[in-house]
Amino acid sequence: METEPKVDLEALAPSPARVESCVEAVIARAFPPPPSLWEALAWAGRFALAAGLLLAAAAWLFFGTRQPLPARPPGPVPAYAPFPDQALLSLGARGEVDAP
Amino acid sequence: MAPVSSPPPTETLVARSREGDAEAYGELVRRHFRAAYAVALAVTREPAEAEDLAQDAFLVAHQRLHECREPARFHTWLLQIVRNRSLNRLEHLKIRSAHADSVRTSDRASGIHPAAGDLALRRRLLDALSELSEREREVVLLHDLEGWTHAEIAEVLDTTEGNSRQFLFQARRKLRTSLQAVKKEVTGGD
Repeated sequence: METEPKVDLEALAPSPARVESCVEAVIARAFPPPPSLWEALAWAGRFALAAGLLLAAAAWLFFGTRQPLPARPPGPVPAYAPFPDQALLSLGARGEVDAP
Repeated sequence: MAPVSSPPPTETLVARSREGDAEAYGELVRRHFRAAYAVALAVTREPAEAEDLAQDAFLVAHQRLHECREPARFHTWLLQIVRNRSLNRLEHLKIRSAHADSVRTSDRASGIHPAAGDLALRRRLLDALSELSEREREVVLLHDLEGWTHAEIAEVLDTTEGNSRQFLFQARRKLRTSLQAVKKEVTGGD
């Protein structure tokens, strides 16, 4: 059956240098080197910065967005507060507390 | 006289690779790269694409090395990954309808054979290969380029040795006819 002469297909094959470069590429991707000390420190710095930013954002959300208390109306402070006195009078009328 | 150390068998390299030995896996890649490339080339018919696919297949194989049940037959398992990935890639290229353009572009960008004469010869061979069926291409590339036996090819391609011989015979005949036709065109024909 196998009487047909062979056709030289070597031109289709990658060169040995090319194969070696592919081997190196595969190994570099399959076995990435462990991070160096500086890289680890850089990552730690990034995490610290991110945590600080998150904390600042949370603090701003909690404290920065609260409504301020309404300002006291201008003018002198009244000598007595009418409403509580009236309330006390009504309570006194019902005999619950002594009238002022 | 120091004893000549024989290269470690594939199963040993697979076992060492599973334990994270990069050197062992490098040796596995070195040993099987050309076969992986040949199968990818048989499917895609594009050298640069085949090279990328072979590399990707080795990365996938490394990630799934624990799934290789018979380490001694690592090459069979690997070439299945290569073929599946190549077929997926081909389908993707067909869907994008950009196969012809990408072949021309990446052919120029490929650094496999930079010489112009080699590029022309490679283009002629690729054109001739495209006349074959996918199975014929696989058999002729594994047999004539990688020097595999029909028994090995039959095992990898899940066929018989007789079929492998038949495919090789047909592939060689078609290649010869196709290349002779090109030669006649170049020389003016007689």
